[in-house]
Amino acid sequence: MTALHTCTAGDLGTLLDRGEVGSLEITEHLLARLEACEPRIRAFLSWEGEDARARARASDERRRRGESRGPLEGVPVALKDIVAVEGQPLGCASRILEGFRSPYTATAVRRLEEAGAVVFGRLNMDEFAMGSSTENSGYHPTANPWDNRRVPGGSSGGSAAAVAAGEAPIALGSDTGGSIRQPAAFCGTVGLKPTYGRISRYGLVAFASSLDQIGPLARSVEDVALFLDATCGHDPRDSTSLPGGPPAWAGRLAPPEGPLRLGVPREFFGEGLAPEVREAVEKALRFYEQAGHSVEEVDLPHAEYGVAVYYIVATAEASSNLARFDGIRYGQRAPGAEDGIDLYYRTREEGFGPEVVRRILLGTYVLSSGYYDAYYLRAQKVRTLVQRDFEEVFARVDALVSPTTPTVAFREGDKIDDPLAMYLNDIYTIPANLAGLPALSVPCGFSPEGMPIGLQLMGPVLAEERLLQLARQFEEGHDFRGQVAPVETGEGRSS
Amino acid sequence: MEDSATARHPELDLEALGRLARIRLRDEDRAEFQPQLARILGYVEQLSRVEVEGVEPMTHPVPLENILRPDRAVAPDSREAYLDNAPATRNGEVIVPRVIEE
Repeated sequence: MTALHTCTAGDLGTLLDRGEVGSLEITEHLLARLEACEPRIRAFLSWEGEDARARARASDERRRRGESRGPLEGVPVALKDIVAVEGQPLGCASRILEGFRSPYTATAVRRLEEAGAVVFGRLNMDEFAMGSSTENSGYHPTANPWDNRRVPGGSSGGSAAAVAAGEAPIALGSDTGGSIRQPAAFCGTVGLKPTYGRISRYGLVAFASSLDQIGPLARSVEDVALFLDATCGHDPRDSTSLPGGPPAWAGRLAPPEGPLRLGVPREFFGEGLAPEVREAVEKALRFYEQAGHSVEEVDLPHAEYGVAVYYIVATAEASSNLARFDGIRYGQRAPGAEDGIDLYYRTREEGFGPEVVRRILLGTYVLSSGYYDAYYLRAQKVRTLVQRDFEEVFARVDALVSPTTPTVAFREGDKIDDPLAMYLNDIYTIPANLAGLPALSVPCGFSPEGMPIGLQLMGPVLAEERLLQLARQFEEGHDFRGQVAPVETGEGRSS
Repeated sequence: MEDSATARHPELDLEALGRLARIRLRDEDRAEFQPQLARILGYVEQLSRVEVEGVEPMTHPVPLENILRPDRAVAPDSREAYLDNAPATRNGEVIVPRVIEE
């Protein structure tokens, strides 16, 4: 039998259904894999093995009683440290939340539980999801499993690294400006950000509420669909959540019916795009043409303003959302305060890392009296123009194809002292967040140095099914499905 | 580049921003953040080139109607569970340093 950590969730589901393996055996195997990989990868902040085993035993028991909850029954799913699980630690990789335990469970996590998944772990991330390399974690960086000197991307870097290293078949991530797709591209996994409102944000720690979305990272398109089928759907506890029940996309992954019109945004192929990434994406475009789809160039004239809009809107919302971390009601409280106000100053200085402070200050500035119109209001208007560009383009084409990132994963330390250079890494992923569109990244090649390259597919609102079908079609024509990075474990090189 | 961006934002007073955000900033923090924030603000300055006359600011990407949920009482969340996370409590209340002068 193939090693269980190299199996996709779909493969595991088949083995479980046939009775060839139990959830406990899978979970034990993954926990052992995790122990072997973590000294190098450090994708997790913590994990509770006994809790995972208990969930796996409960799943095996349900299966024995013939009460399987569906295709994710008994399949382990690892969680980014940004969603609440009742009674478990939740910290957003921030010192300010050290010791916090969730009093309730996030809707997305509850739905995974109701689908039978064995949810486990707290995956590393940039503090409060602010960053593109996971170097802003308040605890430790995470290594890219394909080259440990490079970053896994961020902010869902732990999620991407864990999936790429075979520590979990599926990981939950969150995406505010590319935080699922960029690490997915850097680590050679699939990652999808749904349409804004598809998955409830109840129990997701807020960074920039008008942009944040939960989504999956996995080693196959089918696994991404399985996660979405379990988690999408209206939730009365999130007033921005879209109406409608859960989808059933995993069973509808056949190639899209009839040829599609694919648009290639000119603005996504400009200065700064690495030649090896361009080459891999152009090759992917030729694949789609040979598959019968048409490819045409399109314009998104306001896309170039995306990063500027983002760093006003996201920081403004973050400065407001993070005001709640004050040392009074939860998390860390700095000692030695002279009075209540001094307590705020000390707690926030000690608890927040430099990138979080930078963004809070920037957000405070753009929202401050006299600057609101010039910055925040203007940015929200340009955001409307970005969205209109997409609407006009999607009147002519069915989906957009582009690189996910301008380069492959960069080396640790390369950009950490230059915040603006770090921000520009998200230049191709931010527009979909601004317009609320679904977008995914699927592996499409390797650089000469052996680093994975991601292909981004963007669609109109609610077009996830089309994106999944296109990605699946690409996956079936290539060898990237299910790829696990060769990680040096205690027993030498394995995969 | 740093210098010209800073010159365009003389009002970038980190002392005042730190006060508004309730974050204590040390001298070395200010020295680090000042040029970085000035450079980021210099970059976002490009938005002033965009014609936004008559454009509505964006709220939600998908037009949503406000739907009220049924007006039914639900069990409140556990007070104890929430208080457990507070750094200091006594008799079911959160303890804070003195906020009113004697």
